[in-house]
Amino acid sequence: MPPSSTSFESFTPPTTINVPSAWRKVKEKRDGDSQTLPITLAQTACQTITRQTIETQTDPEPPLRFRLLQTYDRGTMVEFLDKVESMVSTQLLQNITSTAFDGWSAHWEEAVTTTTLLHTLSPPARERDAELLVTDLTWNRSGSTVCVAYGRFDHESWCDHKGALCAWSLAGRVVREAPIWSVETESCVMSAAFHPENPALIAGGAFNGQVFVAQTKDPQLDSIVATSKMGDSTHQEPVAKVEWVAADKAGDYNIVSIGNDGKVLTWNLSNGLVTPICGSQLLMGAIPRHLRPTGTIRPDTILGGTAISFSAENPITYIVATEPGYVAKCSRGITVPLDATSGEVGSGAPKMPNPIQFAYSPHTGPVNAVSCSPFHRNLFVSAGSDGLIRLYNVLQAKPLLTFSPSSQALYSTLFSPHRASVFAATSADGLLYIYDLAHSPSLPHTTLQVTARSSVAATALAFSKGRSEFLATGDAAGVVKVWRIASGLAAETVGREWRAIEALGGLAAD
Amino acid sequence: MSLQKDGVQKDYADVEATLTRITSHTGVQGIVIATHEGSVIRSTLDNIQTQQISTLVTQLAARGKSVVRDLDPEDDLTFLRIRSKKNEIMVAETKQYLLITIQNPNELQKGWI
Repeated sequence: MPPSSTSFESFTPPTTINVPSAWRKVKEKRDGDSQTLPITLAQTACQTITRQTIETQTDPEPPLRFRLLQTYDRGTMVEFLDKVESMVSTQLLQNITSTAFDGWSAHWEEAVTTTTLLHTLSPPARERDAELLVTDLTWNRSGSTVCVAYGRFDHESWCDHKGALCAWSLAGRVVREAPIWSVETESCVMSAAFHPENPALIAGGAFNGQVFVAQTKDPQLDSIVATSKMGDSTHQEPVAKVEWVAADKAGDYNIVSIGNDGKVLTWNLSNGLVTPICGSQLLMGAIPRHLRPTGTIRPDTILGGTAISFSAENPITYIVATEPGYVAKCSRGITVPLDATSGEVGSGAPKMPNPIQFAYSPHTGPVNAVSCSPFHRNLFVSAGSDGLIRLYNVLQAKPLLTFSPSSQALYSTLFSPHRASVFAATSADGLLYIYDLAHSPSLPHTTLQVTARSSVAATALAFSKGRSEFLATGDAAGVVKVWRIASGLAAETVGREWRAIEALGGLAAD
Repeated sequence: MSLQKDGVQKDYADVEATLTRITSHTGVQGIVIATHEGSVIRSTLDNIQTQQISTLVTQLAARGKSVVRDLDPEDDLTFLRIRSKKNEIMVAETKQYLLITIQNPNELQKGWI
């Protein structure tokens, strides 16, 4: 039977059915408006009409005039002194021998316990592309500007590179990436030194034997103030080191340069560096026979100089380090004055005297750096390619102490200008060693890796005289790092440490 | 009259001798003899230093004396020592005068070399 058509068909109801909600109510609504009242603005202007300037300045205080009280009762004075003298004398004597305060030092500033890296100064693009490395570092007098000399050590014959000097200032809160001053030179700069009093003059020694002076103050003038001319009496080989020394006139300074040709020349800026004032040459003749290499060596064999350091108290004597490994004491009195005629090319090299007075027992291999102690006139350190640092007493040929921090060559060493017993050295595997003789006479106090990898050598080192906490190291990648030295290594010498230095510096009792 | 003159000269020599003895001790940098008001009688230092020392140290000694007396009225200040990093200042005082000595205790006997 077919299904009925009324079932299962789509069914649409004819009308929609609405079922109202029992609980839902229509919500009451009400409209309202609000508006802030208009803001009243008033405008006035003011301007200074009358101006008044006033200046003040302190006048130097007139020196206080005072006179000693002449009238006094002598009788009571004698009585007073009698009573008081014994008390004061016992106290004075006690003080000399007292060890009550040894090791006590009041720290008024926060002590920094470790040596930390403060800034990393990367070379500018040109120097980085030319793969120049840091050959020397120098701080200026105020201690907050560091100048970096860029050059290379690996020349085969002539120098084709253009070296540079760049200076960074660390005085501000932010140290900029780019140097505040830089100058390009004709050949690699091998050494640089800031003037000890004028914070804007830098002396530099170049690979082609020239000595030049640059100024950082005035950007309008030429950066290079003077350059030495080539001549028979000037350096024929690279200049190893330049230093400023006090001249006879107070406030005047001479530049002393030592070169790989053994010449030690004195220059002065007053004649525009046209010719050196006087010079001498290091010759084998003054080295005693037992120190010379075996075989007959002619006494006029030249000893190439690699470093020079002046004694702090007596700048007439200086210590030189040489390529064959000899360390010698020389005197500035043994020189021959040079003038313009002797400097001309072709007039023949003037015969220069040998300034060596005393030779110390040598290193094996070239001695790379030498540094006299600024605190004691008798002490100096030398660092050689044999990885040894030797502490010598000026009066003795054998070294007092020998330190062997590394099996690799040591490139530089310096005494700290702030602590008498502290000196630092850098090595070819990128390590910086800081020694403190009062702390331990054989092991370094601090050893730091100052280069990115140990295949990069740390080539230069400089303590800042003005700011005792700064130490700069330069490496073979051209990067300069500025470190903050731990306070224990930077604070001034006091008490027992000084006695350790005195003991080393005085003549050995036995 | 002559006796009195001799006496005065003898006193003067004594004073000088005492001062030389004191200054000859190791490390003594200078001495100043002053009164409580700050006026100076003898000094082995230069003018500016003497002026500074006499005013500053006499004030400090007076302060020290008042501290001691406040703590115990029967006590009295005999000796005042101030030790700094570089040197030590010693003050010995009586009713009329003060003897101020400055010594560097770290200075060692100066040898021959």
